Amino acid sequence: MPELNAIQKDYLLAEGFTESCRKFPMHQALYIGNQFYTYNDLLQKAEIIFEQFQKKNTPAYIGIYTDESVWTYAAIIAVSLTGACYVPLNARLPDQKLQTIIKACKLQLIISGKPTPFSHQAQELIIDTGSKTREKISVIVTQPFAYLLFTSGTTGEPKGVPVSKKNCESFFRHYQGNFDFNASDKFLQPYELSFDVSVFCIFSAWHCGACLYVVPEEGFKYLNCMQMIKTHDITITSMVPTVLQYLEKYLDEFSFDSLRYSFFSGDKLYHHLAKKWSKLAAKAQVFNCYGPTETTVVCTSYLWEETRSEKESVNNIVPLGKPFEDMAFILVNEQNEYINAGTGELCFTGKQVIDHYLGQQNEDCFFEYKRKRYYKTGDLAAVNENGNLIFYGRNDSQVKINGFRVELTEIENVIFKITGKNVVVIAGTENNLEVLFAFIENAKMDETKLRTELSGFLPVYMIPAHYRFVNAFPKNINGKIDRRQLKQYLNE
Amino acid sequence: MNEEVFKQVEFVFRQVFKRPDLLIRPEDTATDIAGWDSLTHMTLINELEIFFKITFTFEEVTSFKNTGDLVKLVTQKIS
Repeated sequence: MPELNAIQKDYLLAEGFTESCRKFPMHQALYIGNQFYTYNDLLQKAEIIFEQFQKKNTPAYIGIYTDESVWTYAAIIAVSLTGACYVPLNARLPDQKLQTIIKACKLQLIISGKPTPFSHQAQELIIDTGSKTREKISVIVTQPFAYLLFTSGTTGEPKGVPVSKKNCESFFRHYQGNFDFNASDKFLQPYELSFDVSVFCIFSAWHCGACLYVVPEEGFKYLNCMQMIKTHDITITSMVPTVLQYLEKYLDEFSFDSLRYSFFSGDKLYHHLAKKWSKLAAKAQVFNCYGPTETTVVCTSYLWEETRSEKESVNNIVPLGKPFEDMAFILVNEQNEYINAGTGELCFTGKQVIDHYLGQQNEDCFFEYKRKRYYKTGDLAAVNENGNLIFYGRNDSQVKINGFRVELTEIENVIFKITGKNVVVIAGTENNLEVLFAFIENAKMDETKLRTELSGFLPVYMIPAHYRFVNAFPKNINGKIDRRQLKQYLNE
Repeated sequence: MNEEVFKQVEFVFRQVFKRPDLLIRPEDTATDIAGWDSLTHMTLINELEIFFKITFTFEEVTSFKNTGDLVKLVTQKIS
């Protein structure tokens, strides 16, 4: 019989962690920097951070200046269990970019293991890591969001994507209902914390009492991933398919018998690479997953199987599969009208779709159809005879570089600010990999100097690999810059 | 260290990182050379394989800690 006056509690991302602490206090929870930490160790560290919190007027959004340390992960637990929303501030990103993020979400508090360059913008909580004083964590903030990430925006300003606790609850329900993740599993964590798939790795592991293995940033990350799977007998991986492209010629050298599940997301998964991967991970089920940040990590999945997938892959790209239980999709044409066949823009509705962007911006990405609110992904797709979604590319200027969503306009804006010249950035391919080319009009400048200046504003993956200086941009019949013709220059 | 191989490896670095004036030192690691990440590393490996007509195994690709080790590995493979 339900308890009288029962209060509906908010779902907290880290509540599964607390449950695992109770069940498996001495299990390994985290491997980072060549060291293991048990569930007890991690909880104690989170409680040390909580003890240092100012409990009154705790803000809804709390920044975490992330580095490769156990304290960063403990801070995520602490913030989540207080009910607040964590905002990862990746210390590897340029300060200017982080300043824009801090300003956009009016961040008042940043937790960090060391002083940050942002003390003039927000209050800092520098963790006293030597402290032994702990306090049991309780909910002290009532607000709807679990985490806030920023994606590349068309205006040149990053877009804030607040993902709610309800969104996360629905997302994790899919995994809890369909997979047998357990306390003996070992999850790989290859992502920056500002990349939303990290949420899947971290909390899938901690919800079931498993151990999370954080891939070191030092050296070469993609190579580190492979070494880590091999050395630690990792059982569950989630990676961007780009890893396979880069390591393709070495894939035959591996055999990962420990792997039970391999998830790929964040970019196109090519059938021939999935085939190579499935050979080296012979006991693993391989899934291609899909979903923009706005639909909470991923919201479709496709179980790869050689014969069936060979038939279903289009342009050698593995299908995106079917939507999760709480999600549904439609396809629309250029006039935003529903289409029941053919290729159209993929739009999602359901419990994983965010309510709005930070500051209610970019509302044109959302629309209502038959009393349901849909999010337009900007991706073109079709449905095959098995009901699986097939990916046909982007319909706007957004591209994926190494799994990161990149808005070309944002890069153009930054180059324009530096050079004062007209710029067009185009994604092309080089050695079968997607790379960025910047065309700059009527200019002659030092490419190395420009790259250095760009690194002050943009993360490495957004800095174009090649620069072409042209006298004048080709124009199309409407007088617009002819991007297609510029793209042809790449082949010359 | 084989000076000639060192100079040739430096030439490949300059091509890959598009810096004609780049000077490498045997003790240089990825943190010392701007833009040397997972992605450029694989490009570098590919270019070295083409230039010296050699192939690296994954074990070898992950074995060296700095450019000095890389030069030694290349020297071994071409001799």
